[in-house]
Amino acid sequence: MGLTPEETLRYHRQIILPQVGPEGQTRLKESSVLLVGAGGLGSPVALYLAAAGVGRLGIADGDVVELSNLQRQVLHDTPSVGRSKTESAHQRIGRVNPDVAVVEYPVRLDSSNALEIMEGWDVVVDGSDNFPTRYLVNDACVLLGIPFVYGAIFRFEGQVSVFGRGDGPCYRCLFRDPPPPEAVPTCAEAGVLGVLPGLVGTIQATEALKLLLDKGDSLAGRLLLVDTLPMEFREVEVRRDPDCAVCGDDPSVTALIDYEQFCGGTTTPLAAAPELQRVPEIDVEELRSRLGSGQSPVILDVRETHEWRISNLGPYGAKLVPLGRLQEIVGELDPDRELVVYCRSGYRSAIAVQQLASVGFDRAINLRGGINEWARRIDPSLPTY
Amino acid sequence: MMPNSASVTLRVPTSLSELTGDRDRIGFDVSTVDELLDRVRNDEPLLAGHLFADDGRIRGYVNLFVNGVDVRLLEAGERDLPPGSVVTIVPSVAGG
Ligand SMILES: [Zn+2]
Repeated sequence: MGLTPEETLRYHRQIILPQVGPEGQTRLKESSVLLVGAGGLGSPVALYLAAAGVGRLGIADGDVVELSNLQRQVLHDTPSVGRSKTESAHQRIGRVNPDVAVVEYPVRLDSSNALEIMEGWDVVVDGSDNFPTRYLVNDACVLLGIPFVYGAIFRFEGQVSVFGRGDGPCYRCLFRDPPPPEAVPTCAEAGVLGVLPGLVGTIQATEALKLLLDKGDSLAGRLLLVDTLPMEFREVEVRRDPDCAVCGDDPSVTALIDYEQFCGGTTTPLAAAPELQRVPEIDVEELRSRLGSGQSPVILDVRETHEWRISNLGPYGAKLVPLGRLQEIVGELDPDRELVVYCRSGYRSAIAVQQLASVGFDRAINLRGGINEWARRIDPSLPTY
Repeated sequence: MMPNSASVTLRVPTSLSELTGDRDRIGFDVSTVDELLDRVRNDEPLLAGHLFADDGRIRGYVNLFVNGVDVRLLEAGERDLPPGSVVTIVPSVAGG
């Protein structure tokens, strides 16, 4: 499959590069890249890979375009608000370069569909926005032997690398465990500089093209750190971990697992409910007035030990029981006493209250807003986090 | 900015700067990695809580790089910090 005269003209500036040439351009035309996520990172990747003449682009994203996406997701435009991201991406790519074949996967990747969707692509680009998908993409790529270009952003900072390539490291070699829920806010909660995914995504696109062309030194084995406030690019070395759970010498992960559970830390049978029902709540003011009134409730903190060190209600008799261990100690609690449960902001404690209710604790109540709300309204000497 | 006397700079990413009073660089006058980690435990308890598990090991979702090399990979003889060393915290971030 050679290049048509029109293609030779379209890609002329690239073909005259000695590192590309007609052979390299033909190679791009015959190659395929799957983009996981058509958001902030996926946007520049899709646009540049399409413009560069990559023959086939897959787009996996289950979301629809929202107005608040457009500040950074330059693949989509105002008339696309409300449409599926894959459809919007497909249409835009078609206008940039009608020669590119686009395959839409308008779903969120999970363990049941990932291998089928990801198999057969030359390169995967990870532009997802959550930890379960990132570990899923990593494991699926390692299992399928597909290199993937990793990119991730937060506020003003980004990270880029190439994982799963040959003997190189994988994402789990760098981050063995996912952070506990709530330890890391999402872009929706924390904000992100609109141009940052443009910066990081174009580096991902560059790495994808280098992998397809087999040119240059890939970022495999190096993690590039992009920091836009001081405008610094630094890199650190990442080695394959012989003890890595998926790419190590004796891997324990040999098939896809449940990544929501892996990243949620809610592995006890008590925590099965996927949707949170409304649970009884108490306001921080109300709790304060009850303390020392002769009807003080038992207080349970369901966060992790390091969070307890930041702030806690220990002076009021609070007891630390991380959510994952609640089941173990439930027998030590008195179901007839009132029990106030708190966490950082009220989400994990709501799960805990639900779990307790399911085993007969009718007087378990959730502290609305968690310890951060307590710190804001009752005790400003406590830090919030 | 770091004090002039500091020999080693700890770089804190924005995602964790809430734990350091918005400081993104903290200077330490130390000469080994272990001294540095002790000082972090003492002087920056909020940050230390994020970095270290209860057994004292660095958590699986955060990394410390000493002049670009993962601190977990440093051999016993490589734990000196020459003046001007930069120790970088690399957090897990998932935004896209
Ligand atoms: Zn690995």
